[in-house]
Amino acid sequence: MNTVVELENVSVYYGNVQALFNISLKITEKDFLGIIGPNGSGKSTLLKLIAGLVKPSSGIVRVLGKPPFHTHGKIGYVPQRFNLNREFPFSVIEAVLTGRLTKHSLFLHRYTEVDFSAVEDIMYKLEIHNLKDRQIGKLSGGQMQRALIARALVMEPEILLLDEPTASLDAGSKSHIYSILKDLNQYMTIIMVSHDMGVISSYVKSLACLNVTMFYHGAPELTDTLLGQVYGCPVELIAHGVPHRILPQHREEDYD
Amino acid sequence: MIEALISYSFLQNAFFSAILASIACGIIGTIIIEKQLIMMSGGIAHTAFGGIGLGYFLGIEPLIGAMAFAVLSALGIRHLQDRTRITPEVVLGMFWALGMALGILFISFTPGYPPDITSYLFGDILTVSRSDLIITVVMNSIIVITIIVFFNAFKTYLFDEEFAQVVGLPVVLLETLTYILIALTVVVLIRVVGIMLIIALLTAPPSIARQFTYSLHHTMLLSIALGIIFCLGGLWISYVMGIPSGAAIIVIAVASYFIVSLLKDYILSSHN
Ligand SMILES: Nc1ncnc2c1ncn2[C@@H]1O[C@H](COP(=O)(O)OP(=O)(O)OP(=O)(O)O)[C@@H](O)[C@H]1O
Ligand SMILES: [Mg+2]
Repeated sequence: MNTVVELENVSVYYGNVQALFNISLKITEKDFLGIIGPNGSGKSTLLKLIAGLVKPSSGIVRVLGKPPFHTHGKIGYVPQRFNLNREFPFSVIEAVLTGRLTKHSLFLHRYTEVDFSAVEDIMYKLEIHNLKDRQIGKLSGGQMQRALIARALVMEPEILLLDEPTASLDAGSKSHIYSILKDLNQYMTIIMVSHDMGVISSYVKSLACLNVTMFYHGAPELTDTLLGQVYGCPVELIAHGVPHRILPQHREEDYD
Repeated sequence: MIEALISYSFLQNAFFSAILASIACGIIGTIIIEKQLIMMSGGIAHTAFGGIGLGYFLGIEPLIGAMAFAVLSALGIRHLQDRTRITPEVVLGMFWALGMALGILFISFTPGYPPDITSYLFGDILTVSRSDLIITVVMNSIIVITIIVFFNAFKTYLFDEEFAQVVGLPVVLLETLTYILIALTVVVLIRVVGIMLIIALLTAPPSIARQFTYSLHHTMLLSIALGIIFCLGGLWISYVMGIPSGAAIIVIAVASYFIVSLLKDYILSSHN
């Protein structure tokens, strides 16, 4: 298996806040990696590092064999916090269409028929096609989240980064989205941050436990000891052979 | 008025500069509103006054001096806000006042009779000259062509800068272009409404337009149309009543904004 993401002794500081310390990590092609860790443990920072949105303070990051600033377009990204302009005069379909842009879409760019049909397909799949003409700011939290997942998927990326993608989705939409992700995983590497242990244990192929440093990276088997170490306190595991659900600082609403 | 327009070249200049100003204003005003750069634009406009002073001092066209100051201050403010720990508002405030101060200093250093600066501060569309008009045409062409050529990229950048970076658009270039275009727009507007009043003409038309459409280019086109109505309305009133044109345009623009917004609120709430 090819290595698609490689971090060597990477640290990230925001001013004097240490977000990540000395992380070394290899992610192989077509992996489905779940990342867990308490609030402020650097999970979002790790994804931004891979997306090329944050520069490492020290260490080396390679994505698809290159520095992440040269891999734009091959990395789909669904952010945790939507730093977007909700008042913008954009319909939902126009917002999703922006996922079809590339670094070459500069001069007199026009969306093609192929772009439109790719976008409509994915919007049907994610059950937001009926919302396509609505102004983007007028979506509910969960609808917005699905629109942003759609925007990342129409990029047809090689690596898909998802930062708590289902934080404001209802149970039905959650399992619907995970089954789509499972399909996509046949030809796409997926890296996903989630606080939802049920999901982590039933969908991911490997697991990383992060709290500024990397505590664990391997098969998705959680033990009390490990979780205690990562979360800094004993965490309850309701286990029936397979670890099922943990209840650390569980947050439903991460959407603002 | 129509006969006067045909026979007096100063009125023709005023008429064309009103139209050109509205085009720049509608396009760039929409961008300023979406990117929340209103105060930034005010800062750039006031800093440009330093360039007008410098123009007089050096004996060159004051609008060229204004353009140099506007572009350099736009890029300078951006750079300092990005690269230093000084609060962004403070950087802006300092440039704002420094530009005005430099303008006054340069003018006081200029030998001879002091020039009339009120037309630059409050605009005087009836005194727009042929050479002002040429500068305006050039600036407008740059603005319109840049926006048309990079339209989809600009839209994405205005909507979600982070995602624009993710798909690989040159966000730094788009940002720099935005600031340069704001500076050029300021130059276009100085003769029409003046440095002190620019902010209102930039923000009123798109603030009205965006209440009625969910598409960026419609917002821009509607803003241009509204700008033309406000500017020609102001021009007409000022010509007929002999009152300052810049002030007339701004009063019409701001009054229209409040009337439309309040009426729309009233109609919407009475429907529910
Ligand atoms: N833009 C920023 N500027 C300064 N500090 C930041 C910034 N972004 C993150 N941090 C800090 O870096 C640390 C890691 O943040 P990060 O967002 O990566 O955590 P996280 O694991 O995603 O947390 P959460 O579970 O709350 O989403 C935190 O201490 C945070 O305060
Ligand atoms: Mg996070």
